[in-house]
This record gives sequence, structure tokens and C-alpha cells, in this order.
Amino acid sequence: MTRVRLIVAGLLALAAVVVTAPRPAGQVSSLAVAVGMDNIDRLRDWDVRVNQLARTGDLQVRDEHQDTLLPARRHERLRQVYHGVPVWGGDVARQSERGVTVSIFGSLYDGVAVDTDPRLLPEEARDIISRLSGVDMGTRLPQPLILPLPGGGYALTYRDQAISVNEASVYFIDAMDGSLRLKYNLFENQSAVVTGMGVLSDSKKVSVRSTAGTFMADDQLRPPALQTYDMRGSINAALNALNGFTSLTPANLAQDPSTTWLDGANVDAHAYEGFTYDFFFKRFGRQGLDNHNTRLIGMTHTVRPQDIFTAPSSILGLFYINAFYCPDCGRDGLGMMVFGEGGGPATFISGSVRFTVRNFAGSLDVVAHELTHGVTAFSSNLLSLNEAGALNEAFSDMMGTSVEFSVKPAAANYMMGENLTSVVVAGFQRSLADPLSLGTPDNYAIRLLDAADNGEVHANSTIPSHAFYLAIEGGTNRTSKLAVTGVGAANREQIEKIFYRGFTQLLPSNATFATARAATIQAARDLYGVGSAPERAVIQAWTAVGVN
Amino acid sequence: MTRRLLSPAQAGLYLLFLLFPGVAHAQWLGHFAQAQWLDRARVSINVGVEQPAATTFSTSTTKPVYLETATITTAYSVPKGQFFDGGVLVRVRGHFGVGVAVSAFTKSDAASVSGAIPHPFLFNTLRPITGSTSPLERSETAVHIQAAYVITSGKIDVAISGGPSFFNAGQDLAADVTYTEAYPYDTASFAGATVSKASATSAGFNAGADVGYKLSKSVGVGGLIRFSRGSVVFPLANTASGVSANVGGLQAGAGIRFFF
Repeated sequence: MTRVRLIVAGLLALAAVVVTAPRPAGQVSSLAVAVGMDNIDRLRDWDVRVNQLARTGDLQVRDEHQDTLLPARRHERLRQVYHGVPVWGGDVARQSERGVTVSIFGSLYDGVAVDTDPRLLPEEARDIISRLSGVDMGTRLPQPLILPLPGGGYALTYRDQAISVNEASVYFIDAMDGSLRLKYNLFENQSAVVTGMGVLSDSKKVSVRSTAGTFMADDQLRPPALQTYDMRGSINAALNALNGFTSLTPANLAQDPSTTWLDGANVDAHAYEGFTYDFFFKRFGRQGLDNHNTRLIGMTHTVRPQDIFTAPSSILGLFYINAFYCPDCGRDGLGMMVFGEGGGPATFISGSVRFTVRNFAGSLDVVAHELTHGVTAFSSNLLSLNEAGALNEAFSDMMGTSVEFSVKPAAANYMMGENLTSVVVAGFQRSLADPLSLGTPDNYAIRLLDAADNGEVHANSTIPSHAFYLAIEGGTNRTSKLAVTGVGAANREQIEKIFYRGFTQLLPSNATFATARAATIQAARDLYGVGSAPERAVIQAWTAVGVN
Repeated sequence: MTRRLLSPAQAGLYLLFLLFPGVAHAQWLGHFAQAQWLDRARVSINVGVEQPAATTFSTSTTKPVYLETATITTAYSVPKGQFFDGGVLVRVRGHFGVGVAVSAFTKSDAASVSGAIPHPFLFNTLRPITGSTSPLERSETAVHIQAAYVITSGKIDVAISGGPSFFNAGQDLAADVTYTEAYPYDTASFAGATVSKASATSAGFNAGADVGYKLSKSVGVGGLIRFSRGSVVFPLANTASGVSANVGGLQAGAGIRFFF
């Protein structure tokens, strides 16, 4: 028996078109018709046909409502039924104005012939769905439905959805023999967790999105949109995206069909962005960079490793040997983070030291450092110049190490960027515990005053960040010889909260070190009271680094 | 003929009288032994209380969650409950008879669930969950084949019996659990259990005594005490070898008797 599937689609603006697709024998075939006011005769024919089907009960009205935009219009939705059982996908939408039909849009199945007396009880079908899905379906019963089969013919089924923490699917159980006729995902995208090997070959979980058999670096488990884009070595595409000339698309997302990701940069970038979000949320209750869960976008592989030998110095210094957060980048101007590719095959020489540089995404403290710039941009908005700039960098270092202590307590330290290079190199790393060991000042008295690097913002940042260290761990400043009684590593949370409060809520954008001292002391008093151990530690620490 | 202090039948009776002190009187023992069992058969219908052979058992299941293995342990309890029993005993020769009885026991009780759920972001960071299921049903139907020795005295007769039992047991098992979690996913909360009905059969044994008191020639009342025992393995997904549990137990009941 020839079964013909009629698809009636009406669009007001379209002229009538008839398309008949060639169809293999035995398959449900299709006839597509677009009908609008431009073809009154055909529209009237279909209007009559729909009315006839409605009268015979083959179409049932399932919804009627007034048009909210064009008050004179009404919309009617009718579903196709066969012997009282709905036909899946058989549906017609009819638009009318003062009783006159102006369009018909939908699909109807012709030649439906199926026994509608089920051998299976709804309770039995429910139990099958429960067994297949692992979900207790309770007392809810699946509904009978006629399912058009892809290979031709129709089947009487029971349909219901089952949602668990791992899966959300719709099940069609054959009402005759209990077999599973069709199952599809209720939601187009699902969250998933894959295993990733990081830059340092360490294994970690990565929260991704599962779509059509591919896993994409689009976190579905955390509150904000958190996405990592793999630019596949296209600096032009990266620059266009940063400048807002083009939008990044799902095709740009880092992705892999495997549940084991081996691209270390993509793995670490995506995982560490998430860890940083988690730290700010759990420690301070902050919801993302702007505290309103603004989207987080990171970009990896903006350049090709093998191009490092011919790359201009500007590209080398920005996209290879660096990582940065651009607060206004992107088509929406909400910021983007770029993870430097590292040195790739190149070997670097500093004095007598030879070293290689890893992808910057592999350093948790560096990722957290850069994202903290985003937090600063949305809060105190410290200028990137002179003392305010040094405070900006210092706060990012403080939070960078704090995230490391939170996520990797066994491996954490006060060295920023220790995983960037094969050996510790001054200029790549900064020490919060002993700044002088890597050639940066640990006291205001020996701060650098030249104009390089926006007023030596990176070098001078170790003065306030060393104060942060001393307030936690205690110790003696090498330059002033002043000792500090810290709150102790077990209470590091107190100092983290004090500096977070001071830097994000109390500091102005053009703050000086002295302002930062006053703001953090105020924060200590706000949180722990005058004369508290944290307040004493903060006062002593600033005094020890020469900031009064 | 060598006389022992007590025959097995008398020992059983003595035990019965200890359990039913209102009936007990040691002087009756000799009197019982001398009477003839004249009924061709007796039918008994009882209702009573069963103390299950094993009141607790547990299951442990695993399933993959966030790339690691979640473990779920469920502790079940089977409290004492009502049972129904019916049987027939046919005299074969003298004081000896054979019979069959069918007993049914059903009881529901909530199970305690505890588990460890992996974290979505971190390896080796398990989140504990605990909770209770809705009442889970244990049902047991047993067929007891009995060889009996019957002692009678006027209106009273006592049947001491024993033999094999065949059990058909059903048990609601927590096949899986559902839990809720929310960002930052540092905790998970038990939400409910996915219950599956498992059934299993096994053979075991029974031993007991039944005392009847004739109110008329063919109708009477009586009491029953029986101990039965078997061991079953309920099939359960995500377990290596199913769930072992003992079935049967101590039944004590009373009911009506028909004598033929």
C-alpha cells in the first residue's frame, strides 16, 4: 500500500510551490506544499480538506489563541489522530482573519493503517521505560501514539520522557511487543564530563557540551557561559574575534569526538577557567568576573607553534610568550582571554640558562591571574599604570596563588608561573615569598621608578603581593628586616578575603600602595574587627614592605 | 523395650506446651501417647505472626558517574509481620501422616541508603549521600511438605511435623538511586530510589507443631508453631552475584481446623 506523507506548509509571503521528492519504494514519502494568500484556490482546497478532516475526527483542535501582534488574527492548531490515537508529527497550524483562512502550515500523514488495540498495558510500557532509563516513573503513564516508521509503515507505541542526572530522553515503546521503537534526546545539548590530559600530562575532568556525538568546550555545569575556542593557529581569526569584527561560532569551539581529550592547552584552559570561577564563587560568593555571571571566553592556539621562528616580535610577545585578558574584546565587548602558545619547538636562552616555554594554559596560577584582571576590570578598574598598575598585577598574583592553593593544595606555592618554563627564569616567574630572589623589589624603598612596562607594574607588583604573603605565612622582609606574624596557612582564607574586599570593593581606580594599605586594613576591621589577628597581620605586612 | 525419658514426639509437645503454657500439663504426655488418631485427614487454616529468619541484609551496587564509580549501599530490614497459612494433613498409618501447607508472608519497610557520588569537576572527591527509600515489600510464599506424627486425646490432637520447604520470595530492591546536586556540586542529596522487583526460589526445611481442639466432630480451633528456613539469591543489576538473603522464619499462629 502506498503511503503518502503530505506536508502542507503555508507562508503568507510565499507563492504556492509544489515539490514532490523521489521516494524509494516502501518508505514514507513526502509531498511538500506551501500555500498562502497568493494562491487562493489551493489555500481554499486545503482549508476545505482540513475542515473535512476535523469533522471526521481525523484532526482535533489542540490549541486556539488570538494573535498578540495582529489582534484581528487567530491561530488554530490541529493534531492528526487515527482511531482516536494521535499520529506523531501529524500537525496543522491554520491562521485566519475574521473567519477567513490566510495560511495553513503543517504536515499530515496519509494512509495510516495500524491496529490501535494495544497488547501492552500502559503500566507495562511505563515499567519498560523505567527499566531502560533507570528512572522511577512513579504513577505517570505513557501515552499511546502512532509512530511513522523510517523504513515505512506505522507502529502503535507508548511515548514518555525520562530525565535523570545523566540523561534526558524520550522513549517510544511498541504497544504490541514492548520493543523500543525510538529514543531521542530530550534536550539538543547535554552536559558531559570528559577526561583531559593537561599541558603537564596531568589528568583532569573537563566539563563540556555533548552535541551530535562531539564534545565541545562549552561548560554546561557552571552558571555562566564558559567557552574555550580553539583558533587552530589562525592569528587573523583571533584578531578579528578580539576586535569584534567577527563572532566566534560553535565551529571554533575546542572539540573532540573522544571522551579523552589530549590537547593539553584546550584541556587546561577550559578546566582552569572553571576552577577560577569556582574559587571566586566558593571563597567570596562572587558570580564570575562581573559578579553577574558574564560569559567567559578563552582562546587557545591563536598561532601555530612552528611559526614562532618567523613571527614578528609583537606577535611573539603577545600570542606566544604571554597570556592576557582583554576586558573590552569580543563582538559584545565583554572581554576575552588569550592563552599564549608558548615557545613550541624553540629553545630560549637567558644568560647561561637554556629553557623551553610551555603553553600558558598549563599554568593554573597564570590562568587565574589573567581572569582576576577581569574581576578588577569589573570592580575597582585599577589603572594599568604606575602604582595602580602594580596593584592590579599584584592582586592578580595574589588570587592566582590563592586559586592554586585552593585547587592543588599539595603542589601549591607562592611562585607565579612556575609551570611556564622548564626551569625557573627571572622575568617568567615572580616570587611572592621572596621577590628579591627573582630580581623584583620586596620593599617600597627599592621600588623601580622608570617608565618601562607602564611604570614597572609587573616588577613593583611584588611589593604588595609580598605583603599578602607575609600576612598569611609571616616572616621577615629581607630589605626592612621587619618581622610579621602571619595568620598562618590554615587561616589563609582570612587574608584572601581581606585583600579581595579591599581590592574589589574599597579601592579607587587610581589607587596607590598607601591607599591599598588603608583599604585592606579597613577590610580587615570590617571582617574581623579592630585588634584582630588578621588586622595586625595586615598592618605588620604593609609596614614590613615599606608601605605606610 | 527400652524407654527413653521423652520420645521425639513428646519432646516436641513439651516444647509446644512451653510456648503455650495455658495448654501445658506434663501429666498429659503419657495420656496423649496412648490415644489413637482416627481422623482420615485434617485441614488447618491459620493466621499469625512471622518473625523472619533474617531481619536485615544489604546490597552494594556501583555505576559510572562523572568518569568514576559511584557506590550505593542499601540496608534492608524485614520486620516481623502477619502470615497466612493453610494446609492439609492426611493420616497414612497409625499416628503417622503426610501433609502439605502453604504459607504466605508480606511485609514492607523502608531501606536505608548510603552512597558516594563522584564530583563532576574533580577526581577522587566523593560526595556522600544518605536517605531512606519508600517502603519496600518482602513477600514470601512457601510450600511446606510435612511428615507428621499425631498424638490425640479426646478433643485435642497434636501434630509434630517436619520436612522440606520450597520458597518463592519477592523483594523490592533499590536498583539505583536518584540524587540532586547543584553548582558548585560539593554536596549531593539523596532524592529517591529506583525500585525493581526481584524474585527468587529456593528449597529449605520446616519443622513445627500444630495443636487442634475439636469443638465438634469435624470443626475445631488450633494453634501452629513452625520454623522454616531457606536461602535465596535475588538478581540485581550492577552487582556481581546478586543479593543473598535468608527466607522463612518462626511462625506462630492460630486458626480453624476441619477434621475428616
